Amino acid sequence: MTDITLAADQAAATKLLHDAETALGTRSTGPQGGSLGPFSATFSASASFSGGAIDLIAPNIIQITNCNFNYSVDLSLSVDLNSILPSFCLPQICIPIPFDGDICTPKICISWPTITIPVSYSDTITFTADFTLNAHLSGATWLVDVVIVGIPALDLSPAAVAILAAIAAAVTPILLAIPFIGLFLALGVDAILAAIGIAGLLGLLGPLLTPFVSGLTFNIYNQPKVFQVLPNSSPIDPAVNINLDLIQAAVLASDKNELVLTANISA
Amino acid sequence: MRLTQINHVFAGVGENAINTFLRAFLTARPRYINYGTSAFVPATTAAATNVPSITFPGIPGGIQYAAQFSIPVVDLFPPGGPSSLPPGVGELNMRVDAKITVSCFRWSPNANRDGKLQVSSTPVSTVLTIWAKGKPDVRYFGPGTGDVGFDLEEVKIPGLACVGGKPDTFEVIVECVIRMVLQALLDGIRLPFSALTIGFFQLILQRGPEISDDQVKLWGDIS
Repeated sequence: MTDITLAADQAAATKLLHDAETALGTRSTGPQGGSLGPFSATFSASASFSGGAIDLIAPNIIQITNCNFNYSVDLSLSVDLNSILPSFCLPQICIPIPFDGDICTPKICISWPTITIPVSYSDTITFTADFTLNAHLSGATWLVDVVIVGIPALDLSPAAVAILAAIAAAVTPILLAIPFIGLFLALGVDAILAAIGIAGLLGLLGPLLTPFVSGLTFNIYNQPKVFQVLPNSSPIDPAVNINLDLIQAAVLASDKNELVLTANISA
Repeated sequence: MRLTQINHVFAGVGENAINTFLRAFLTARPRYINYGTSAFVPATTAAATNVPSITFPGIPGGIQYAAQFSIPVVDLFPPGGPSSLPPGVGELNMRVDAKITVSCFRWSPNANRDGKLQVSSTPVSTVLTIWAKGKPDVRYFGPGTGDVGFDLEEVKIPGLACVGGKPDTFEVIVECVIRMVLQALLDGIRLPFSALTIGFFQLILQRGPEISDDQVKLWGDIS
C-alpha cells in the first residue's frame, strides 16, 4: 500500500496543466541567421502556451485539446536591391558652349542600396495532442512531467500569408526613401514578395516554430526529495523533513478518470 | 472506484505515512515528548522541555519529575492488530509508552549546623504503556492552508486495569491525567495540508478528514 495517494479529476488536472503552462512561461530562440528566399535574414521567435482542456485516458495518456500556442516571430530581411532592380544610369548631358566646345555632365549610374526590412508577427495556433506522464527523480528533485507524444501539425499557412503582407507593408516606406526609385517602386515590392513566396516563409516558420512543440513538456509536480514538512520556526523547533522515496503518476480508469499521484515516504 | 467522488481532488494519507510524519516531527523536535523539571531538564531545548515542579508546602524545591514519551504509533480504522482500545469506525488509536520518573526526596526536618537542609534524592521510574483513541481534528484557514491534528477521546493504561473489570478510582485519575497530558502534547503536533498533499496541489477542503481503509481521507477542490 502506498503511503500517500493524491487524485485529481479532469477539471482539477486541467487547472494543474494551466498552472504548468504559466510556470513554463515564454521560451525564445535566436536571433539566428539564415536565408529567406534569395535574401539573407536574421530571425528569432518566442512562444508560450495557454488554455486547453484535459482528457484523461488510462493508463498513461493525457490528451490536451485546443491548447493555445502563442508565438511571436521577429524577422529582419536584408535585401540587396541591385539583385532585383535593373541598373539605372543618368545619361551624360552635354551643353554646347559657343566657341568653346561642350560642357558635359558625367554619366551617373545609381547603385541601389541594400535595405533592411524588419517585420514582427504574433499569432496563436491551437493544437490538440497526446501527452504521457513521466515521474522521475532529477538529481535531488522529484518531477512529474507531462510530455508530448509526437509532433502536432501546426497550420502555419495563414501566418505565412500574413507575414508576406507585413513584409509588403514594411518595404514600401523603406523603398520610398531611396532617391530615384519612384519608377521602380512597384517593381521592387513585387520582386521581393515573389522571391520570398509563401513556400519560402513556410520553410522558415516550420523549423523556427516546431522546436517549441517538439518534446513539449509541462511540469505538474516539482518537489525536493527531502521534503520540508515544517520550516525552522525557532532554535528549539528546527525544520521537520521527510524523504520522498518514490513518486509515481498514472491515469486511473473509473467512471471518472483521474490523474493519480502516489508517494512512498520515510522519516 | 473513483477516488475524488463528487469532488475534484482527493488526498489519502495512510497510517504508515502518519507514523512517518510523527517520527520525522518528534525526531527533529523531541522536546514535544520529553519533559522534565529543572532537576532533569535545566532549560528548554529542541531535545526536551523544562516544566515547573509541582509545589507542595514543605517539600524543598517542590516535586521534581520527568516524563518521557515514546514516539506514538498510530493505527487507523480498521484495527491493524490487538489493542486495549481498538479504533472504531472513523477512529484512530495510538500506542505510546511513557516513562515517568520522580525524584524521591528525603530530608531531615532540622537544618544542619550551617542552616541548610540535608536533602537526598533517589530517582524512581515506571514505564506505562498507554493506549489512546480519538479522531482527526482539522483546522482550515483557506486554500492550501490548514492542518490536521489528533483529538483524543479516551485513554487506557492496561497496566492499571483492575482485576474485576471495573476501573478503580486510581486508574480513573491516572488515565484522566495522562489523557490531558497526551492531548496537550499532541496539540503541538499538527500536520499541514502541504505535507499531506506533498505539495501536489493547494487543497480547498470540502470534506473530511475521514478515516477508513487505514487512511485519513480529505476531499475538495484546488485553487
